[in-house]
Amino acid sequence: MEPERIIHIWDRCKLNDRKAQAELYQHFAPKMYAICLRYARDTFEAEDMLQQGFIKVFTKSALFEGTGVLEGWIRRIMVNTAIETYRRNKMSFLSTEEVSGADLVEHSTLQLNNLDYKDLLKLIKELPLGYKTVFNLYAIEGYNHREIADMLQISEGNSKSQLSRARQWLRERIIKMEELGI
Amino acid sequence: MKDQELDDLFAKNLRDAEARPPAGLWDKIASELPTEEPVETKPIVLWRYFAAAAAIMLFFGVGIYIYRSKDALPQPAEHRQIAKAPELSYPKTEEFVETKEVESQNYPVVPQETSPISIEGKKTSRLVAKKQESTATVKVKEQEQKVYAAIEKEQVEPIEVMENSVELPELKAMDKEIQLSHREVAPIHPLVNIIENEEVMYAQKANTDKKPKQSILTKVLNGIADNINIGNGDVSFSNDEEGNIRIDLTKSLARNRR
Repeated sequence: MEPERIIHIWDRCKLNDRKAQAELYQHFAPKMYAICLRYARDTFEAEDMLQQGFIKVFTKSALFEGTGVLEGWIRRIMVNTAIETYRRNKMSFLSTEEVSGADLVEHSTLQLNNLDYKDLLKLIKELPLGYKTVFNLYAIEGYNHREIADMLQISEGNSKSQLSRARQWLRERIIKMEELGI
Repeated sequence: MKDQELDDLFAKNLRDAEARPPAGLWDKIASELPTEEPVETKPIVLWRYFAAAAAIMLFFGVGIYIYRSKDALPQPAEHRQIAKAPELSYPKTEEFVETKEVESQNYPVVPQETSPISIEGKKTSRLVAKKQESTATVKVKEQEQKVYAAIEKEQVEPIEVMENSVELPELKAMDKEIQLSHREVAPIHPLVNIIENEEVMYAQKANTDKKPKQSILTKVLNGIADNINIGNGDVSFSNDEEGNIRIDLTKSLARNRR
């Protein structure tokens, strides 16, 4: 879809035009759903995030000044919704998973190109909640540790250690997958 | 595998990835969004309210206007009396001015005592005359008395003329009434001059109106109304020969206008 067309649809969305809202949803939902899947524990949670995120997009449409890219704004809303869910989850359930840092081995023979979207998403999904959120925010969304610390209400040091543990966890998994010959 | 490599691997594959969202999710979202076009419905509703309010106001306004205009019908006779009063007072004042002049010409020594004699009327002038008895000469008194005699004669004259002009014998009784009314009206006269109190006077006049007929029902209603209302007699009930019950609210309305 051309940017002009999106702007036109967006203008109608602001006037609470239901048809335009449906069109905007159809356009952005696949990308946003992929984001939600990365943060959520399961597909039901991802679905819920997507729903809440789009409701925010349409009810707070007046807050988008139109200076940046609309997609970036919607993406931020989705990430924020995911973080809210993360905070709720963190309060109700504490992840007790510990990473065994002993068997950290460098595998130079790892065939990274064999891993596709599905495999990587599966890996991300299997990450413990805290690691997953920090890794998503840092490695994929591109936030720095200070921003992450602010968003998750944790210390910068905590963010850094969570990231390094996430990386370690992922490496182990990738090696295992290679060993199994998947 | 270096940190950066690992991050890039995931970022490249996942950042702009797409996934098909479950069908029917849009319906869920749409059901939670605010209803469509709420801006257009509001003005219509408001417009209707205003129209209804205007219609009610107009209805009551016309009703009260008709009611009051009906009420005012028996009053013209009294209005005439009030209207005639100033006409009659004119010759009086002229006479007093004349007497003043005469007195000042004849006795320029005592202008202080003559000066209070003005439009106010006979009483004051007579008081002044008594004062003069003690201070001024007897001549002054005689002169004044003469003047008053002349005034009284002249005062009577227009009434006589009116009596002559009315030729029908049946209306002679009416003439007497008119004659009486002339004398009654004179003290009312200054009340009309206070423009600010005109409305209040009107309301008070309504109080002295002829007493409307009352049946047992209306008496009971009046009794209830007197006990309920703080402003006594604001609402009164009466009925006519045909048995129609009339609720009089004009007094309470007149009071509210203050």
